[in-house]
Amino acid sequence: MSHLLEIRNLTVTFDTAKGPLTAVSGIDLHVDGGEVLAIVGESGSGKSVAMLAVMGLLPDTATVRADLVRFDGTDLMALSPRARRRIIGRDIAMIFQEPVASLNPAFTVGLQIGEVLKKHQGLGRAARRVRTLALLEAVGLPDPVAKLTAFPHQMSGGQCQRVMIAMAIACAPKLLIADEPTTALDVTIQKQILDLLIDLQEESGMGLIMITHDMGVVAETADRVVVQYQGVKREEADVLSLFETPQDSYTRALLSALPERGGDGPLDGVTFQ
Amino acid sequence: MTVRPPIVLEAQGLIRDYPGKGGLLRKASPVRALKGVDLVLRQGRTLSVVGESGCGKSTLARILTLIDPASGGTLLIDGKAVDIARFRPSAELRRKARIVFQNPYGSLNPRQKVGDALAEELLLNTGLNAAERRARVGDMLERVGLSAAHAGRYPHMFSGGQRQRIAIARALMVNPRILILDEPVSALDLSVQARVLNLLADLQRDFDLSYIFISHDLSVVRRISDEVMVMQAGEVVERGSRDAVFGDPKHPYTRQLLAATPSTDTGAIRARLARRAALRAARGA
Repeated sequence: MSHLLEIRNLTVTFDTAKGPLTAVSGIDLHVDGGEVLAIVGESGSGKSVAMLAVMGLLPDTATVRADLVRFDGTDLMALSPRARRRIIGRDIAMIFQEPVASLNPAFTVGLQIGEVLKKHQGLGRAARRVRTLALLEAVGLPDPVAKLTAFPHQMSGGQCQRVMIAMAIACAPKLLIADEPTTALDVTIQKQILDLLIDLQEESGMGLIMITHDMGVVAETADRVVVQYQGVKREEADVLSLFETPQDSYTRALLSALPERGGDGPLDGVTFQ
Repeated sequence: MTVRPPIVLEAQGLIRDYPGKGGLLRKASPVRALKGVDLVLRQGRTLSVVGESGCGKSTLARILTLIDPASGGTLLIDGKAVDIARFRPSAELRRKARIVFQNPYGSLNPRQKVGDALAEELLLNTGLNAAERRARVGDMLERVGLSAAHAGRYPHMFSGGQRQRIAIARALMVNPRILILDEPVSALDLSVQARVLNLLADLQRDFDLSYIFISHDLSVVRRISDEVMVMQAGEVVERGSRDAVFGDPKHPYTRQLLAATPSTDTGAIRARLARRAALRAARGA
């Protein structure tokens, strides 16, 4: 069976003033429908860059090379940017860390969600309103009718992230990529957003990629985990094996740096070859 | 029974009002960010203040370090009442409690060499000459795990963890008794966070420092605290020893916070996977 998203030997290089910088180096990844894959790593691990490359969201200074980037049977590398944009946003959606910054401050929530429905599904005004209300309800926003005419600054960070999720699932995507979706949120709000993402994923059977630095988020959401360090995949395992019997020295060091796992002595920190 | 260490910092009924949003004709009613907070910090101990955004924990930090005045209540540093709204505190008093912020890049001047930023503390607060200041700066940089040679570099030449070490070094230059640590490791990667927490533990032991540790991260708080107080909407809803607060939380909000904190415990992961499998089976049937 072929995977929903399959990436083989992906390398991303940025042109910088100091010469080329390799952010992602020869990574293989795959995710299936109905599966939650966590990509975990610290800053500079390239965990976001790989997915931005798939989405075609990297700046011009980036060079993307891969043996294969196949989504739902289509080779994304072979597509024109225009053809790729028809898939991106509809079949693959993405949400980001800063929900307030990701929304346009000048337009209402209703208009911004409606825009997605117009662009990808060609819905008329009345149909858009009905669908937008249903989406706002699906992501658990209180008083969805009032939210239609609300501006992002009138809502909390958690509510803005719910709006972002509503936009992302507007076209019933086959794959949702969530890049640090709860990092800017309080812990009780984080729990609600993670529960919402997993519920939506369960109901729709979409694939979900969680990009995170937080081992707690991994433990709470993932089926399978990829650990990245400095652009290289260090380990890939199902979530229980990763926490029970980590194979890679970096994974082990990362786990031992968790405050709740350190025992009474000093935390190990990351020391490895 | 062992003698309890002396109290270094005490607050009774601290209140802080911020001016509210008024209209043209409507008088602004103030927003009460702190609604009467009491706390006691003993020498060599760590008191953590836990809460979510808007609970008043950073407002509290600014009052304890004499940056902002309280609108009401009493603050005692080393047993002496301090009210910066009425009397300008002495330099000696100001030296006793220092603050370390979450974002070290924002709290260091990008155009000032790190050594100069540290030496400035001595220039303002001591009569040391340039050579003595330089020596003390070098010693302190080494004490926090950097090298004396780093004094000539600018903040942007350091990583986030190194910058937080610099911020800690600067706070320690004038030999304070108390550090107010406002989310000091929240912006750091896990591995870097672990090293900075280790450093804070070492420094506390070596200098007999007392910490107010402000954080939203319960895993970190559980690791480093002696006492914990949980704040919600400007009020302390629960306080106690670390073991009491984590082991037997009394207030519903504390329980809610604990329940929302992700667990990396393999038993919890196993339970979650089982729930997920059961849900799928039910859906498929």
